[in-house]
Amino acid sequence: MDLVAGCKDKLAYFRIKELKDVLTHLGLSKQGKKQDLVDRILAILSEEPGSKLWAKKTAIAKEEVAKLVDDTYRKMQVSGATDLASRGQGASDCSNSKCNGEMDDPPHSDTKVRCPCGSPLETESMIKCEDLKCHVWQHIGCVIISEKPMEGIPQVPDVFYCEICRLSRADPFWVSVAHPLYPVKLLATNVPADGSSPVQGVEKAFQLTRADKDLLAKQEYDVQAWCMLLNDKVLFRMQWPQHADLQVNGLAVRAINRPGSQLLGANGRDDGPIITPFVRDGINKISLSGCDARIFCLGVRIVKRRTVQQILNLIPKDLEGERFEDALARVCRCVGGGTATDNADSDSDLEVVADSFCVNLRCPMSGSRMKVAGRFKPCAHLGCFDLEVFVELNQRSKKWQCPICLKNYSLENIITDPYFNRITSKMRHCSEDITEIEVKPDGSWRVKTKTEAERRDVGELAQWHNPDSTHCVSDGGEIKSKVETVKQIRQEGISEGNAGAGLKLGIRKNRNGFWEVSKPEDVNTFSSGRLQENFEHHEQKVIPMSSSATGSRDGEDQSVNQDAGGNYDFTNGGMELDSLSLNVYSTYGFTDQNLDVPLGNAEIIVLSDSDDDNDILISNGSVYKSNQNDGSATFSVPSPGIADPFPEDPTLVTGGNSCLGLFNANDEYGMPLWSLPSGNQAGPGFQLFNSDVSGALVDLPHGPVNCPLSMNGYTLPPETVMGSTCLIPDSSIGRSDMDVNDGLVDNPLAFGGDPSLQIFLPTGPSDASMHSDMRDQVDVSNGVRSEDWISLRLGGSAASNHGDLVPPTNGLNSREQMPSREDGVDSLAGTASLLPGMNDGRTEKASRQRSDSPFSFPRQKRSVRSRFYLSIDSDSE
Amino acid sequence: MTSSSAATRKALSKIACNRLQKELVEWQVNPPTGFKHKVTDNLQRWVIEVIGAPGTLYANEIYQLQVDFPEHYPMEAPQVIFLHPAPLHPHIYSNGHICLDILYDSWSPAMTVSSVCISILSMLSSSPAKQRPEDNDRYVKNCRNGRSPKETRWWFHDDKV
Repeated sequence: MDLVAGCKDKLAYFRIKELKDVLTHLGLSKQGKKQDLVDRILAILSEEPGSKLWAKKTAIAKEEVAKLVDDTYRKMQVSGATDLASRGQGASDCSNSKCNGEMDDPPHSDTKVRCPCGSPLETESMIKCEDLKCHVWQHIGCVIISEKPMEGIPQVPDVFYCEICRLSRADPFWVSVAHPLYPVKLLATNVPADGSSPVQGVEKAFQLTRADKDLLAKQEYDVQAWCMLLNDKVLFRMQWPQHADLQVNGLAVRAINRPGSQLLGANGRDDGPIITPFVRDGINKISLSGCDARIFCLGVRIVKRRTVQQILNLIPKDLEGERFEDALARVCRCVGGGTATDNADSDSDLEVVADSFCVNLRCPMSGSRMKVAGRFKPCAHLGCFDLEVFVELNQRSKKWQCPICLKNYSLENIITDPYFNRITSKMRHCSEDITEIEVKPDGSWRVKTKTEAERRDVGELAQWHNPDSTHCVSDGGEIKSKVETVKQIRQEGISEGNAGAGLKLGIRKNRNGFWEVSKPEDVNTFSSGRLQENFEHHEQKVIPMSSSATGSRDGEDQSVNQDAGGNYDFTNGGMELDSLSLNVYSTYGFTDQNLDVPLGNAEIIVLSDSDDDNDILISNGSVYKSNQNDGSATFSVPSPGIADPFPEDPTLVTGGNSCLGLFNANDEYGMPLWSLPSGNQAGPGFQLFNSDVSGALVDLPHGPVNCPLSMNGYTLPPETVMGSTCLIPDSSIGRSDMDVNDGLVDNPLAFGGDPSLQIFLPTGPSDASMHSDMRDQVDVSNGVRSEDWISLRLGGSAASNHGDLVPPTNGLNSREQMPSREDGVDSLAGTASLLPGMNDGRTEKASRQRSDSPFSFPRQKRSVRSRFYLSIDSDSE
Repeated sequence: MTSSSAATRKALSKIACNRLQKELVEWQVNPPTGFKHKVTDNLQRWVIEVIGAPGTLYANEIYQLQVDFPEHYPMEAPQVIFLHPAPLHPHIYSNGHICLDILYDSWSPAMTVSSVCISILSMLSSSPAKQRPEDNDRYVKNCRNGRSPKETRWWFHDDKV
């Protein structure tokens, strides 16, 4: 056992390289952790002859193994740390010579060996460069060097890059064209006895051909000397030894800017001096010496300069580097710790709703708002940087390091962030000092504004956007948005039509037993299915209509989808009764779990929710509101850009979209549509109903009726609806949800006000409707104001839009002209019998909204309003 | 006045200039508590008054920080030193040099003057005793020629203070 114990002590000092050498000699496997290797050797020593492991090699006595260990150990002692490492090349000698056995990575016959030791021989302990285009093999003993040679065994890294590949990543602004001198190790020339750093150096010759020289005549080509620490913790950087003295053809070249005695910090980067002026055709001499105990290698390469733009072109374009879903998942994880929308509980929803996080879009490097949001793909954090600024700064600093978490990467890890990039590109035209957005756990976002001026500046960006904001807005462009709006309008029209009938029915139900309600099936589905389900419903029923806009959105983001779905649903909802109701809910839900309520899309569902029930009912109202919102959104859309509103907020946006659509319809189609009397009338009525959430349900029945009209009528009804809805939306927008609710209530009235509305008015209290319109108008103006007030994006954009839009629709305009939002609202409230209640609710709501999460609060208010509405509706009915 | 290293004498790059102007505006709008920026027309050298946080060893004591920005700020850390007299602190040398990792190896371009100031104040506040670093005399002697602390190879061994 003395033999074993003695060897064990020695083995403790072995590095993996030595262990592998021994194992190689023994013809045993070199795979496994260091301890495994030690155990394997010890097993041989302590094993009884004849055991299976040793069976084949009985010829080798234990003594021989012990001697092998002994020899290796002695060699280590003699060579010393530094030398050992550098000697690795030679060290592999033993392995070279013999063996076969089971080596872990036997180099292939076509193996390309290029090692800083200069030896082209293959050994058993080889390691391959990770780079897919490189595949160079190097001797582990030469290139894997532990930081403290006698202490640890160098761990063979999981990912290994050869020096050439490390160099190319260290500074992508230089592309290696040729390597007149491949990396060579600096060798210690004398080891001082006093323990100070040994002097090490290398002197080499390299050849430049005439072709090389021709290349160098071009401006962007140069000859560069470079040096790298073999076991640098910062993988991708150059580093020169302390007191580096570089000479090319006898001329001194300054290699580093830092003082010779100063070590390169973890945050520092050395450069490779350009030696073009010092070289000539043919043979050139280069020498480097320094006082350093660590192991460096020196090389000479011909490089071609890249520009910042060329580097930027190397970075994958949006979505090529990362899927949007992945980016959204990261945002959801960082902001909310999960998909909050999964929770159907309404109360929790409210909490979640209030939970939005402020994210600053300022680039940490420049301090300005990011134009293109870039990130390192492996980073788990939210923070991004301005891609162009980062690349430009790195042209000189060569620090491919994440400024947020300080991890070192390389250019190939850089991607654009698909989530934030959509936002930053949408904000491209916002003023410089608007840099903050609010992000909800589901990824929906809006620009955070502090003043009215800012709100005006950002327009509809102050409204909540779906996580995939670009989808609706940016890409679509106005044309798309118009198309969408048209579709939406149609949908809405349909829905309205449906809503008209359905809504009335629904409303009634609501009044009496919304809660109980109505469609168990729907409820069930709602309950079970959340947004997705809703989507499904939509798809099933609505799909044709909504499929384009909504469908896509739904598909994209589930959570987001809810909102989007909600909005779409609304439109769809018009088409599909159930879906509509759902949609409405979803709109409410936007932010939250309202979605679930939407599920309830059946008004019943709403009812079903206990607290929400009222609220839900209200929410139905809210749904109406949502419609209104949509209307408002639509309003906004026209002026700012329909597309934008869509993208902005899923719910709001969607609502806005639909609204926009309506408005658009009104503006474009709407006017003509108005002419359509019968259809329109029906539409309005429906619309009114639509405006009410319950109405939506009611609408369903109506919807069918309207549907026939739909093509023509749709447009018209939508318009009418639009107008009413729009007005409502504005108000609602301005006030936030609350307003919306009111708006919804108002909407019915508004409808009355509109031609179509007027028609309705007869059915309902015409005056009331008129008043409501007035209110709506007021609301609209208010809504604009409200935008200012609340900062609701929708409101702002909507308001502006409304204002614009409204003019087209005379009635609408007049309404808008009406009092300011608040006053108007109040007055409106006053006008409408319901209004008083509404007003109160509104004011309350408004205040609440202002305070924070309009949505959540609004719901309640909405519910109240919805009730009023309902009552109103009932009256009208 | 402490002489500054050669690096800080180079004019600021355009990006550095823009960034510093933004930082200055941000500072004026939202100054970190306990600090006062002494207004000068020199964007490249800020002098900041530090007021010891109440309830700490340095309560109500006023010191001055001098922040010099290198040409390639924020890719390179600013040079931050205390002007004479430097507070007595186990990580602050009598020549004003501060042993704080974020000023050197752990600097990140995402940091700002404001965040650095807060870190320094935090370092002051957590000090258990008013004393100089053990190697103060040796170090200060080595730095006689106005060497920048950025040329020192710092060893950040104490994460408690």
